[in-house]
Amino acid sequence: MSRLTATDRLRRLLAVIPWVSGRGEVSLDEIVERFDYPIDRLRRDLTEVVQFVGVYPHTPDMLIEVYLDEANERVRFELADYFTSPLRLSPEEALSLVSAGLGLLGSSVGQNSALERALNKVADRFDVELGDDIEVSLGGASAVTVEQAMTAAREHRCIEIEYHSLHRSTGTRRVVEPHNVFSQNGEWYLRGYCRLAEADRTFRLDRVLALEETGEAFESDAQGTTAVFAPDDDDLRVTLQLSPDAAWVAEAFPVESVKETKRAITVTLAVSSTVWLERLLLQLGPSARLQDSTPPLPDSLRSDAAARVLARYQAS
Amino acid sequence: MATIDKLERQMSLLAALLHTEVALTATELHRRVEGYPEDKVAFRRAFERDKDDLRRLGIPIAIESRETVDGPVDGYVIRETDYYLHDLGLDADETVALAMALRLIRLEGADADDAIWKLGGAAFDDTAPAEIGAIAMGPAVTQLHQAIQRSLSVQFGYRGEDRVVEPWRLAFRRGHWYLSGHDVARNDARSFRLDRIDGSITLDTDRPATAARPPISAERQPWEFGSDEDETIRARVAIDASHADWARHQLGADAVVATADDGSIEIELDVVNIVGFRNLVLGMLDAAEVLSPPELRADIISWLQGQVA
Repeated sequence: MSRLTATDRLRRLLAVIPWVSGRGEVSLDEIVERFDYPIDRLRRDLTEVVQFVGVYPHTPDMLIEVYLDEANERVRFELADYFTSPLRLSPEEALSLVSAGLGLLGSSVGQNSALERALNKVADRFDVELGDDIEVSLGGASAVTVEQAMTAAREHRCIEIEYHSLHRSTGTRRVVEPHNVFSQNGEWYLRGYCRLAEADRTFRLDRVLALEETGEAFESDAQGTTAVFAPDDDDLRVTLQLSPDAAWVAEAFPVESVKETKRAITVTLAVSSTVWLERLLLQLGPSARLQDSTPPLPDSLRSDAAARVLARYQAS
Repeated sequence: MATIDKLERQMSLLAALLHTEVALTATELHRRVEGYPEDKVAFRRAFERDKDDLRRLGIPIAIESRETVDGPVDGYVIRETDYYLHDLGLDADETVALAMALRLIRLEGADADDAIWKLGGAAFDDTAPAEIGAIAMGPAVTQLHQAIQRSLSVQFGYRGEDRVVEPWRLAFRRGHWYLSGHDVARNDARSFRLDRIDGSITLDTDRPATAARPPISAERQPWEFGSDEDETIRARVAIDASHADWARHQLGADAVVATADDGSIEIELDVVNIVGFRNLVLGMLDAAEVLSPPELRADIISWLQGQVA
């Protein structure tokens, strides 16, 4: 954290003073960690600011007393009566807590976890009906799978997954060195080094049919910090013209551009395989037209795919 | 030039407003709070700025009229019940769990740090995982949630039209917030993406929401959506071994009615929504085939024939 403004310091102090007051004496280090308060700034604010805060008539008995121990490492307050409790949570803050909590909790409801208990208490106080008037989904994968993948990534343990790739149309088993787990556009993903592909790969966790640790640890300097999932520049890009009833496509997929007129919506999106595109075109039928693509695709892409599926019906 | 830190002055102002029983006038505050300039005009300017700063932090400064010799004057006070946090009764591990959720899920447009600080903060070591997802918050979420809590209709512009909606539920899905509710003019259920709402949202306090909120439908699959009058059709689909595990995973083992030696399976589903069903089947391309009933099989065949050049 760089320089704190007066407001940044005020926000912290209004929480720090009640917290310290409730516990008697507290180490400065703990304040630094809990409230993201740089130590030098904290020491100065305690001795040069808080010390002098008080109410009329500003006689010593009306000022907050700040006691630092001799080593300058622990602090306690007296006479901070008006700051014995922090400011209440705003409705925005309560909803923020609830949203983040529900997103992380995902499908693991009903297990009485600390997070779930906390959410219920916040919801009770703020009259929020969890799941009923607000619901949050960060992905379709089960909370167990997400949790397992996160743990394996954190502890640098290899996992073997059974993965159903919609691009390849078949299931595969592969060993992956998991780097990080993240949610994007409402799906959970796992990024890691795939030993089958011998390259870094991104997997959608709801298509992981089975996941287990192999027991093997891996060395990694991969920083699993950036949760950015960007299509490669050399991915296939297609432009689709959609009729209004297929407008959901613009919302369901990470489209790169949308142009909307009264009669049609034109979207451009990166596509990682032609199989994926075939599937989308057959599903949308007359509601979608493939307008353009880079690199170019055969004009007969859709027709060929339809004929291939039809052949199956005609055979039986 | 500043002899007294702005922070000290604002904390003293806050203390004065919390400490008093009677609302204090600006003149009284000028006398009681240290750190303001002597000059009346300069004081007023600084005082107004401080009030704005505090209010922006959500500090509820009430204005109450005070009788003075010069007639009624605005007085300022912070009532304890408005300011102090109600104890949520969180255990230590529960606070840590909330703090961890906020660390993992970034809330765009909301300063969530304050919420955790108010609950006593939480310390994590460097091995704790970094951000794994983001949720866009904003005034519309809070406003619409208030409308839901208070059973009030809302008005807003959407796709170039003014809507009156009895709000039911907020859902964050596929990376966006959606409001579901009863669209009064259309007399039907509708879903609205919050970031597509034009301009501001108005809560209509004169218009209580009366349409009953339907039960949650998150568990329903696309082929199960429909109205009560829609007919339910039992469909049987053959699925190749390549997609069998995936289908079992998606549809549940109960849907599988036959398994062949080669690993291929047959499943049965109750279908209400034909488009949803078609999407499911075509999602598997030539790895799936509708076996029965004949009308659903015919639907897929004619749908595909329409796409063969």
